[in-house]
Formats: sequence, C-alpha cells, structure tokens
Amino acid sequence: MGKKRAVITGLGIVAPNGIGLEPFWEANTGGRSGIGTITRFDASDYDFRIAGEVREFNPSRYMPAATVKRTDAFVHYGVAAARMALDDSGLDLSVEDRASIGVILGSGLGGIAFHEEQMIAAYDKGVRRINPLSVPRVSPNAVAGHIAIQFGLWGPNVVISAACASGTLAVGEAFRKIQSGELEACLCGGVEAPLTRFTYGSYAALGVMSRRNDAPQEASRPFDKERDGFVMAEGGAMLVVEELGRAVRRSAHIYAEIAGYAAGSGAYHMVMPQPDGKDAARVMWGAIRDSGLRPEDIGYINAHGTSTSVNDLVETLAIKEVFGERAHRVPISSTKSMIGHTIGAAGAIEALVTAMVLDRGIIPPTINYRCKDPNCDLDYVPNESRCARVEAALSNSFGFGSCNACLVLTKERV
Amino acid sequence: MTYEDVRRTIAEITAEKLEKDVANIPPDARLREDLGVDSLTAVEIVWEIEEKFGMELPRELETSVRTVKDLVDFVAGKVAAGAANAST
Repeated sequence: MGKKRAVITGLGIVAPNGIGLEPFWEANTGGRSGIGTITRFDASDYDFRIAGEVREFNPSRYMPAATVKRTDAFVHYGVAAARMALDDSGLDLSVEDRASIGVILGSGLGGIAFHEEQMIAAYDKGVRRINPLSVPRVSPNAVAGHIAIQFGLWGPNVVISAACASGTLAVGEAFRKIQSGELEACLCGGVEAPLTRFTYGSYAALGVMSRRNDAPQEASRPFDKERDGFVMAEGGAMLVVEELGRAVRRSAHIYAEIAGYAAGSGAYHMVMPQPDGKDAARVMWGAIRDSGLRPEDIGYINAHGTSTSVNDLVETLAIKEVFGERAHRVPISSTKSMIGHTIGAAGAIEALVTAMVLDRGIIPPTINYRCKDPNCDLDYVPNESRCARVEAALSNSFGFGSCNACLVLTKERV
Repeated sequence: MTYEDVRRTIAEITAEKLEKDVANIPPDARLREDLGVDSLTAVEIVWEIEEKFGMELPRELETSVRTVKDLVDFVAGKVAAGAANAST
C-alpha cells in the first residue's frame, strides 16, 4: 500500500510580534519586530537585556483559570496555539475517532521558570516547601498532556526535545505517523518559555547572544555582516496536520502539503555546527529527496538564520552545497530576524510561516539587513516582503547537540 | 489571628483548588465525599495552608480530617499554640 499524504489544515500561533495567525502574518509580512528590553525578570546585572517577549497574552482565554494557575507559560502557549489551530482547521472533535489523533510537540526546556522557582524554595526554605505539583508542572511533556486533556485526544502524546530543531522534528514525526496510516490527524508544533534569570543567563554565558541592548529591534540581523548573536525569545505554534483524503472530504482549507522530511546529526559538537555545512546540507538533501522533488523545484527557503556569526555562514555554505549555482536565485528569509530565537518553538513557527508563504504567495523579509557580508552572498529577501508564487519550499532547523531537521512543504498537488 | 480568619483562609484555599465559589465550602461539608477532594488536591490544600500560615502540618492530616471544620479546628489549634508559645 502506498504512503498516505499529509496536509496542513489548521494553524495557531503565539509569538512576540503577534498572537493569532492573522496578526502574526501581518507583522511578519510587514517586517515588524517583536523584540524589546526584558521585562519578564530583572536583567539589570546582565550584559544582555533584550528578548522577544510575548505581550498582552491572556491564557485564560484558552484554558480554565484553575489550569492556568497550575501550569507554566510553555503550556499556556501550547494550549492557546492548539486551540487556535483546531478552530482554524474546522475539525469537529465530537465526531472524530479521538484515538486516531495524536499530539506531538517540540520543547527544549519545559517548565523551566517554575523549576527555577522551586529550586530556590528547596534550597532557601527546605524541601517541605517544594510544591506538590512540581513534577507535572516542570516536565517538558506537560504541554502535550494538557492539550490532550483539554481537547480529549487519545492518540500518541509526545514531546520531542532536540534543542532548536525540536519543533521541526515534531512536525516531521507527525507527518511520518500520517504517512504510515498510524494517525488520521495530529496536532503538532513547538513551544518554549525560556525567559528566566537562569536560562537566559546560561545562554548569555555561552556567548551566543546579541549585545545590542540599545537597539533591541535591530539586534537580530541574520546574514548581515554586523550580526553579533541571536536574541532569545518565547512563544509557540501548532499545526493541524491530517491525511489528505479526509481533509478533501470535509472540504477543509489546505494551507500546504508536507511533502518531505529528514532529520540527522552532524555528530560533530554540542554547540558548533560542522564548519563546512556538510551535515546541514545532508539533511536538506534528505528532505528534498524524501519529497520526490529536486533542488531546482524549491522556490523558497525559510532559513534557520539565527543571527550568530557561525550559523549564518555555515547555513549559507550548506545551501550552496545543495543548490549549486541556483543558490543565488532562491529567496531565503529568516523569521528570527523579527521574533528572535524561540528555541524549541522555532521550527514549528517557521513551518507555519513556510505554509503561509505557499498559501498566500508572500515571502516575509529578513529584517535588519543593512551590510552585506561577502561570505553570505545569497538572496535573503532583505527588509521588504516579496510577492511570489511558490510551489515548494524548504524549512531548515539546525540545533545544539548537532541535531538537524528539515521539512519540504508544497502547494497541495492534485 | 482569629478563628474566623483561619476559617475564611482555609475556605478560600479549598475553593480555589476545587474551582468552586467560596460560598460552596460550608464548614460541615466532608472534604472527600461532599467536595470531591482527591488525594492530590488534599496535598495541594495542605501545602497551601502551610505556605499561608507559615506552619508545618503532619502528613497524615490529609487522610485524618473529615470535614472542612475538622481542618479549620486543627489549624486554628496550631495557630493558638504558636501564639501561646510566642507570648511566653
């Protein structure tokens, strides 16, 4: 029996520059940054004080107030995005086979804010003061559990932790489960709420973050010659992915088809990519081959594009390796230029953006692109969005721990 | 702190954990049978009482008290004992 096909029929998002699909898309195509000075915690003693914070977000709109109090922000973002994606898809869960719908998310860190709070309580006040709900609150899979409980989904319930590639792996694994016939539909995506004193400080200590405290909105500048690191951010995105035939039968709007996926490891270093980009290229190749397409069919690349000196250079090399001379003619943009790096959510947010590029025919820009880097000489769609009918697109994620994952999305091919 | 303060605080904590209105937490209500306090919620209620009153309660309390009033009486007793110790 041939493989089944998987399409994206619902999208939901909570991001620093927009909550909900349309506000987010408007901000992205308009090149609006969601980055600012940190308000979430006191960062006055840090050298780095900027982040992509989700603002004016009320989790009680999406989940019971009592659950809000017992859960961390990463769960709030996940449940909210799942609610939006389900509503957008038009799936009527009251008539669906709930056992055939799974929940797969990526999260690099889980409930790290509450974890920190409880560590302090345990050391300062004694172990009796550890909150009895600490375990279900800090566990990374809490977000998948809460989504399943809230919507009554009985299928596989999984959180994948693969650093900055987590969200991409979650969407890819959901795609595989639909291809194989194991699932009819899957809520998949990624979440992260890393803006805490310890976590922010840990990434700062690694020396990978931008120091542009005086110009937060200009700090994330992927592929620009003067890039000086990424900007940490929070948020979440969820996609409803379902088997093509059922989506067509219920006349669902199809944003895009997931046509290819590959994941792999550079087996190289915990925080550095392989300098020649061969590992990244191998996974990009893998996803394109999996889709049955060729590199020349790809009309847009949503880059990992973190704004670190090394990533953007190596990703450029990898794109050249895969696309050859044509690398200069494929539009490439970085969503992180506007929202920063949402770690485990990034791949899901970028899969959502890639689906929207195919659906709407607009490529959002890489903002803050001012100064050309001779080593990054491709078409990064600088500063202004572009109208383009794209038939197939690639979304890249390259994470710490040498974990890489790529997706190929296409317009639904009839 | 008066007995009424203790009663009100415990009623508020119980109501919040059960997602009920505080008016629906009468003193004679049985925690498990009438209010549906399960074992995890009981742990949460006791933890919150310890936090609010700055006291340590015996772990078996979760199973030994039957009604809201039993719980209030026990905590009020501890509060009174603490106040008596503090004044001597």
